[in-house]
Amino acid sequence: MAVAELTFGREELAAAQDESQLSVVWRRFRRHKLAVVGLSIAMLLALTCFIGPVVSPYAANKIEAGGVAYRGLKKLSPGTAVTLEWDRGVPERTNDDRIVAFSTGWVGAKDPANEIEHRLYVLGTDNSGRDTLTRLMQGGRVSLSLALIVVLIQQILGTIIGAISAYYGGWVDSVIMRGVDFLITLPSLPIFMVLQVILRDRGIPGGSIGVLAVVFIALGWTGSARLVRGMVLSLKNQEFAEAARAMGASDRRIVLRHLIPNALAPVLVSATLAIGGIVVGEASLSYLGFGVQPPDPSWGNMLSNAQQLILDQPWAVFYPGLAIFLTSLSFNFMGDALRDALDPRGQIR
Amino acid sequence: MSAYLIRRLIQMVIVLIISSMAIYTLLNMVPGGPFDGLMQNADAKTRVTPEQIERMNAMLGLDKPPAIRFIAWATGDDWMGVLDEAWAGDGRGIIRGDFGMSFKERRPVLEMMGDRIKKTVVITGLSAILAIVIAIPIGIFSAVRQYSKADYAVTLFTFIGTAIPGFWFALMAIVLFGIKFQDWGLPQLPTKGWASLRAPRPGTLTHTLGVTQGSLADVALHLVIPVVVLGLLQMAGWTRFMRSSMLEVLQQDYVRTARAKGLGERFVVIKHALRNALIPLVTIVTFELPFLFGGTILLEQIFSIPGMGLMYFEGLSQFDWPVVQGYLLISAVLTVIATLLSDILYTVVDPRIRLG
Repeated sequence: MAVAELTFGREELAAAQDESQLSVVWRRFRRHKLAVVGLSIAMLLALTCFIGPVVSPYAANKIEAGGVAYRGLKKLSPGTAVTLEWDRGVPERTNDDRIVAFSTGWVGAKDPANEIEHRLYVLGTDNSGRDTLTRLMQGGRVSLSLALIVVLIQQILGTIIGAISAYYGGWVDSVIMRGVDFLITLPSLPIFMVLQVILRDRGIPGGSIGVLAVVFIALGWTGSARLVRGMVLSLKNQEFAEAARAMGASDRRIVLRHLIPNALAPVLVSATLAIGGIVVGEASLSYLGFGVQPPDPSWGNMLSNAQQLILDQPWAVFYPGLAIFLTSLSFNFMGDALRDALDPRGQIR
Repeated sequence: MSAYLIRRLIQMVIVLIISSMAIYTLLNMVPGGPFDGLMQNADAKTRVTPEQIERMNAMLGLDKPPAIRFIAWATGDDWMGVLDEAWAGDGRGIIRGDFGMSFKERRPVLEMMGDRIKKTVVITGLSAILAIVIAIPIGIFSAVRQYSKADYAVTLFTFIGTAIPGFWFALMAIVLFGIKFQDWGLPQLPTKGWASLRAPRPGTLTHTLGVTQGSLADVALHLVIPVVVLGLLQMAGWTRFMRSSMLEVLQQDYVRTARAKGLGERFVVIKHALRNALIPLVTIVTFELPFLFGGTILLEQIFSIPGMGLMYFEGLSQFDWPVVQGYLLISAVLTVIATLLSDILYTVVDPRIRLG
């Protein structure tokens, strides 16, 4: 170990010192295998969800496939003959199995014999004949953008409130922290459900993304507020803060330019981890019928829709849940890697 | 210690009073009172007119000012005479254990909860025990063998377990054990309800084992999937906790001292390290208290278990506000108690920490 340190060249040492904090973090982040996997999954999911619905030949809410549930095709390569499997839950159509040659990838082709347009549904269609993949992508757009917006605002809010609470201390701190204590006693999922019902009754569509976002933000800022408060409490008496004060910096400047930047690392980690939590939370609410309302797709309400037909189409339960799972998993991987990468006690490699 | 406890208890009561006021206000925010939802019923037969609502409000005392209603609701109506029995129950108020009457079932909310809380506690309790019993040894093992293949496997498992949406995991379990098992000709496990509603069909495990409907064995079979699903979900997070706190403790000087004294590794880990490594786990597990009694809304809904969570879900869907209110209130009380309890337990397991 000691030998390795000694053989460290002077140039290399200088380069390491010149390297910005950000690039050190990025380099350490990249070394984390799971983080790279997580980042790739997340990017892939985001790209698919945001570009997919534009490219898709189907509309998320439009009834295709004659209102019949198709099973998704298992193998697919252009030009091969594929069997269209009809849903076994719709007995009158079970004799309709036929072999169709597809000339293009997943966009459908015409059946020359019957002049019927046969289309291909990569992941099948739901019980109303709506294309599952398009709905998944559309639902993902909603989930991902909701999660990103909510996390951004709630972390900023929490950070500022936490910093103010710790910096001023005294009664400001007491009031804010008792407020946090109180918000924590409210069980989040049940409170979400009640709020959705109340808002719905006030004529505000409870499932609209705006309302969901506001509710998530209102209940979710407490975590980062506590985190930042703890950090700032220890930071505010350190020399650099005192130096800033001695130089006549205003409270605002000390908090915003000196204290918060130093407390940001754990916030970044908790924000990354929170994204997965919000995606799951939104899905849970929508699953219970208190979130995004049908016919608009959401991973949660697609799951509850699929659950009603679980006996006939068990496969339909799989995809929306997988999407939620992959999103949550990828952000957890990234959050964990960020924690390691941002840890000042960690080795600089 | 006792001064600290008294201060904490007073704070607890204040937080609870504020919470109950907030919950009460929240539920009364529905315009026109809690019956407004009934106006939106699609079915013309069950839809109510504004006049009817006004009458109902007067009957239930909902036309009185909210502050008065809150006091009557909280401290008892027997000395105020403001509320109808639906909200006031037997008139002893929340603080004397009267949560009012369910609109839907026409019986005291507390009595309804009594039925359901048992089922919830059986499921959450068993799954918590299962989770702890597995999480502690696996966490220790994984920490002791840090960076081994087994450790990577455990870490990956805990990542998957904490990221997986519980309700999806539950649904997949239903698909596997309830539906695929049938397709493969294996005996199906029961996936719904607390006990069999009908005599078991051939092909189910209940039938194969010759279990009588409604017996203890029948209930036990119904509990297998929910308990295992819930247990695995909790286990993932707890294992991760156990592992990281064990790793932290194993780096401490006193552990090195113990090793230097020549104590066996097993003895060092179990006698010296474990006790301190358990501290973070104790707090996390104690924080699960509200959920132990409150149940999980999602899982009870999926498995159709008539517990607390399902009661809340149904209450909310049917605008049964006394039930909703009762549930939220109990959750708040339990959360506050859990917070206090975990702080106290902290000092029990770690004498270095002093509350003051």
